[in-house]
Amino acid sequence: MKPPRKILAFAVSFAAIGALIFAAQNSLTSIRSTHRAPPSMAFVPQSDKIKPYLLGFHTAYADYLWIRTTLYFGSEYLSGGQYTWLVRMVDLVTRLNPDFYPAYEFAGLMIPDVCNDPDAARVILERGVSSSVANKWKLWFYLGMIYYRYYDNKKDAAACLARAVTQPDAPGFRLAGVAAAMFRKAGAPEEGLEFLSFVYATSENPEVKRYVQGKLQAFTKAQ
Amino acid sequence: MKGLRMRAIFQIAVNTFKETIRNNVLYIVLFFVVALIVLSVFVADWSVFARIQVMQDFGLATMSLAGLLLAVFIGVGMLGREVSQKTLYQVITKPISRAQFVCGKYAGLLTTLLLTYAAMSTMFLCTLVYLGGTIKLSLLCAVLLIWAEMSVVISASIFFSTLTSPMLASFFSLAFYVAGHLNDLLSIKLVAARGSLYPRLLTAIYYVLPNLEHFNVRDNIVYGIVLPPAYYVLALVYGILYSALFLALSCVLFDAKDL
Repeated sequence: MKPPRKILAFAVSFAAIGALIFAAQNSLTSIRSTHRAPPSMAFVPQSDKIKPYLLGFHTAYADYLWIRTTLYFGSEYLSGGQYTWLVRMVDLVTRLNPDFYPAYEFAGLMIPDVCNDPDAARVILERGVSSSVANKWKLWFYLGMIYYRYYDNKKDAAACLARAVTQPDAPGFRLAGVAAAMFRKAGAPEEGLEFLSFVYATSENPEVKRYVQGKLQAFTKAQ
Repeated sequence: MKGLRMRAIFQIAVNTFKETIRNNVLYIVLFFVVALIVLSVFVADWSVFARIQVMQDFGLATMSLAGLLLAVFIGVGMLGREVSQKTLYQVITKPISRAQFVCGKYAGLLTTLLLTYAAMSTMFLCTLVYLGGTIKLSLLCAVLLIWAEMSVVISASIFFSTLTSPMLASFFSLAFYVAGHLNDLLSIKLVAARGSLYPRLLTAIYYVLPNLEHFNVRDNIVYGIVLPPAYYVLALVYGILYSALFLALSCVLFDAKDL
């Protein structure tokens, strides 16, 4: 039995429309891939002055901004862009939610090199170390590394590492050794010695005590 | 004969247009759009970008959302109301086919939306010029693409309203809009998809669902990335094809419906 002509005409029309849609879809996708704009930054606020207008949802907005930041970073990385808005976005995230640890870590690790802006990273990290985030020792460590690498300021670097040692969960014995070595390089061995003695006296961990004692002996011998 | 058919569609379109411009929802949505466009002047001041760029982005986003609200709340209720209030019987007892009725309704609603977009665009462009911006052709093309996107959404909402109750049809239309905008993500997911069936299923969904992101050129306007004219033409053709598809399906379903 032959299908009625009406049904056949409908089937052919649907198939034709489907084929045209398929072709148009592929053409549009290909044009868009060559003219792709980065994720819109239009709704990234200028400053944290908008905080009162967020009606208490500033942390949720910080989360949203953080997602936009990572998308922006990815798109700039893939297109070899200049990361123009990156510092401002990370800064805003940490202003809106001062306890947002990943943003601080990102600032410490990426901003000095990627955006070539160690000053901005230092300012954001200084905000981080005065906040109540967990893993604060890492932020002190990154700050110390920025002082050491970009400012060639070994004394401040050593002071930051010394602060890192005193934070909860810090890998004390390793950091203490690095901090003491840094003090020595900065031309302040007596401060390094004082710092090691302080760690030795205050630490309750026998492993740390043993490690620091070894460092102290090596330090005294070197002097 | 063909002229008579077109005349019937035209008459239904005119009636639908008159009916929709009397709808209060239209004016409420228009009021909020105008208010939001005026308020966008302050939003633009908060942004890291130049206020003109933010104003453009915000204005276009507002128009898109307003179109969606109108398409869903007026489009879905249209057929359902004709059936529930039994006004449909007065029309289909005349020498007018159900397909002509559906096409007429669609054309009427599309005209209302065109008029609404003309009003919103005038307000938007006036605010833009007041702030020191310039009216570019790409901006007008972006508005045209939003209208094309809404024509697809309206055809989909008519399709859903022939299938189910107005309440569910509204829900499906909103879901269709969201899924259409998320369709772009499927192309990314396809790259990572493994297995024999899963990637094929994703590909099928990707091609069956319209990719409404093709009508969204806001980022390109904000960043000044010029799209070739062929893109706008293709996007319009894409919208027309999807609208035709949904409308044809609606006509078939409405024709087979037991009223």
